[in-house]
Amino acid sequence: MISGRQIQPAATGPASVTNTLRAVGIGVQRGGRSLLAEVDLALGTGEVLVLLGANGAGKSTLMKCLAGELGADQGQVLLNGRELHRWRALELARRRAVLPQASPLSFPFTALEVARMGRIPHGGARASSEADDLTIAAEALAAAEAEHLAERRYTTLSGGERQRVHLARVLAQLWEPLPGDEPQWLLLDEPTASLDLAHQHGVLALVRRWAHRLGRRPVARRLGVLVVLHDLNLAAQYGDRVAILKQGRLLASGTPAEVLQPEQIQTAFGLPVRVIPHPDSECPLIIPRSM
Amino acid sequence: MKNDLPRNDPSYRARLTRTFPLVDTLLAVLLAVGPATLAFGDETPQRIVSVDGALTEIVYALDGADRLAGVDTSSLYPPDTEDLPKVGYKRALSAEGLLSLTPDLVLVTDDAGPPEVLEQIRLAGVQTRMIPDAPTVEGLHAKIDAVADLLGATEAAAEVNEGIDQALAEVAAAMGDHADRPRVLFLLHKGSGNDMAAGRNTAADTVIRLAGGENVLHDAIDGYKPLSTEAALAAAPEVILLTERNFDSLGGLDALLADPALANTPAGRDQRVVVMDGPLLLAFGPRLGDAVAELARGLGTLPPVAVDTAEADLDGTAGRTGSAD
Amino acid sequence: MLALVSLVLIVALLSIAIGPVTIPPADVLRALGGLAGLPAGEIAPQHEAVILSIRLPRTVLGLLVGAGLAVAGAAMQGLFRNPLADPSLIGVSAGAALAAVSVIVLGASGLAGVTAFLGPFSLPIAAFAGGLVTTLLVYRLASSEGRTSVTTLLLAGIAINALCGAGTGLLTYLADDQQLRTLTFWSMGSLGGATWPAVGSAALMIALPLLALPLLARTLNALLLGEAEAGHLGIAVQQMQRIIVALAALAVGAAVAVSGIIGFVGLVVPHLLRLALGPDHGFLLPGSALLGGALLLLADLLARTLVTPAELPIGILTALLGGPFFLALLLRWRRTAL
Repeated sequence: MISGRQIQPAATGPASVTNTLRAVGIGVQRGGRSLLAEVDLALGTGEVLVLLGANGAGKSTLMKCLAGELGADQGQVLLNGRELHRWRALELARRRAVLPQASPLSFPFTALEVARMGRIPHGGARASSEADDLTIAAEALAAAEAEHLAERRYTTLSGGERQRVHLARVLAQLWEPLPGDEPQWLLLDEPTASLDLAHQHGVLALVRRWAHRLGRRPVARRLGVLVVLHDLNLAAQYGDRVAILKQGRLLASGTPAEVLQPEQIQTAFGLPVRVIPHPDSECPLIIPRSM
Repeated sequence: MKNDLPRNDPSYRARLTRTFPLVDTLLAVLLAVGPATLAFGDETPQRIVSVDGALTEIVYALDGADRLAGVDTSSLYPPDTEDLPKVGYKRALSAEGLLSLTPDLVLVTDDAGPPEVLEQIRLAGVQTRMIPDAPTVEGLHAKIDAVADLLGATEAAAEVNEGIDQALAEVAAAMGDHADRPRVLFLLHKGSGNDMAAGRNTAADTVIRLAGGENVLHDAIDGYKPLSTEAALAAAPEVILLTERNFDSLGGLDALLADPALANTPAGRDQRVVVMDGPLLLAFGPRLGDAVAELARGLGTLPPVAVDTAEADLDGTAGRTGSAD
Repeated sequence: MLALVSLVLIVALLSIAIGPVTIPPADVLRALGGLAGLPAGEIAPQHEAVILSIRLPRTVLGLLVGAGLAVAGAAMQGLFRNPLADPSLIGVSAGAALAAVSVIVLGASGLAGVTAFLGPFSLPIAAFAGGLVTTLLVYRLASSEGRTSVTTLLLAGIAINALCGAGTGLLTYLADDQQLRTLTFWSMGSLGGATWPAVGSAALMIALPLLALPLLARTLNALLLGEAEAGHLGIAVQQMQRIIVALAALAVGAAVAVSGIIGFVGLVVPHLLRLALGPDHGFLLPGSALLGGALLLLADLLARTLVTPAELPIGILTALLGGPFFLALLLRWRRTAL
């Protein structure tokens, strides 16, 4: 048994079943190799859950399972209490948005047009909704700090700018609360990978505000955010909870202070670190030691 | 509505009407068109478009040249045809292009097309006649008679036919009893990447036989087919026959025999290569006697002196043979 | 868009009014008026016949084929996320060509039974069937466990295109001189076969893709983001891919069947519009239909009139017209974009 399990049983989610996005004992095998095994993880509304792990630990596979892009060979994934494959694609798209690491988009759409694609699942052909969609796309661009890029061609943007445009797209997808304030889910796969330092913090702060119902656009919504990150300090600073994967299994999950311990990090990443209290906030600060 | 046109076949109309209702209304229009284009009624056609080289030659031989309104790109003889409007390649005709020449008769062979275009021309009230084409002497007579019927020139046709028979008979007589029939290989487009050789049922095959030769591929292939160089070697021809244009574009005898397979045939070893004017050899028209005589000279089955008699007996048309040698 | 509609109307009018047979404009108007039920007045009967049974069907066919090819091209470029894709990638043109060449070369021998049964419609029917069967084969080969990725579709298409090309090459090699010329002309395209029955059957086939593909504009936009991303946006990716491939194959198969291979329109028209109007399929698909129709009609007008009374293959003119225009736009776009 892996020691991390002792800190907090992973299956114990913070909310009731119908208000979670939840993986129950899922496993995935490809080509005779096990990519994921016996993973139990629940994401609740009002929280940012950060998924950590070394390269090849299974983060992206787990993300794809939670997004419904990949069917698990064992176990099941429940979104708002219903199995993923039993949702109609369009209904699912109104409840969860996924930001990929990179998109193969290579056509010269304007940034605004890309952001507006987030409104596709809400589509009607009505003129009023077209106009609304455009307004929402523009506001989403502003929220992702990409307002000034609106009329630029996507193909002329830098990697970081593209990433923010896609962020705006997934924000636009979940812009309005669902009737009855049904929970919505935002899944971000390494959203900070190509961003500069300021934008890394900007983006994570934004999704945290959204999850916590704060900020300029205080939408009365229930939203849970799952973020795959590589930077342990960003995870510590913005994650309400942190989960670590190692070789397809869940090593640990819990608050940053609980999970981000030196032994745990050594086990997961094979890197010796020192963990000290953050001088300005309550989260831990992780400092790699020379190997 | 006038419906007194003998050329509007009622069964054809019924069939078209079934296929497509709009045709009915169009036909109403076209029936009205008929009288305008066929105004001379029973008289012979005055504006003819010929869509085949041999048919064009026949029209000339029947003294119908002044009635030709246009010809296709395969009509190369006599040289006057150059001045006539060209309606393009016979298998890629244009309906409106043809109609713009306001013809009252379009002569085609069975390989003319596309079929839809021929149908449109017929629909526009223009008489379109398909002339059967078989590369035999009888076929040629039938072809000339068919054209003559349409032109109202049956007397001239009898003369032309007789001239052909006479020319052929004279060549045959002059050749005598040649026991030794040279084995001939005719190549089309040699060196173009699309080499073709003549088998049976081709104009070349008949001309070779009439000239006292034997087509080496008569039994092996039907029509024109691609031929591998080794198959050419295996056929062991004693004479290689090419068109002038092909021979020149290859660059002459040395270039032709640079092909090791051809060089090793009996023809290659003896350098027996006969070159002939392509349109004369292949057209299979009124100049057939000419073509046979010229090839026979080339093959050596006919001594050079005999030629003059053969040529003198054909009328002016044959006298203008532009072939070399 | 309004400009494109006017362009189509102007070119269509020109196409009806101009041809090797000189017809006074008044007669053209009277013939068209008569068709619309207006009192026709006096008109030379042959002029009326040329307009109603030759130019009008040809104009309608040109619009249909041009629109069908261009819309199918736009859809394929979207599906393959590649602005250089064209409908030939899914094997439809290669399959149609193989079938057509088979009929041309073997029509009198090996396939004599078939050609005797189908008569003059052998070639179009064979081309249409060949195109659809090949596309189906490509799609089957690219699918496993009910899933198809665009990348495997592309690779399967390349393999099947090569095989069809080999078959066509073999038949070309076997062809005699006249067959060779026939298939050369066929592979350069022509609208010369525009009789009303041909136009009617082409319209039946092309109308569906022409109307349905523009309704899939959002789907195609989403597919440009990637298959996974489109799925996240609620698109039933597998199903939509199948529908798009089928519609494009239908349009191209029918176009090839009635007019031979007309290259360039499917590739360049959407590309050109994308440079001018941007890649949003909401504009791109209807715009391609209009511009494709106009370009093909204009090319046909030149094909019919440049060398009268003969006719040029239309494929030469589509390339000749579209090429320089496309290059100019490309150069301008490169300057502004970089």
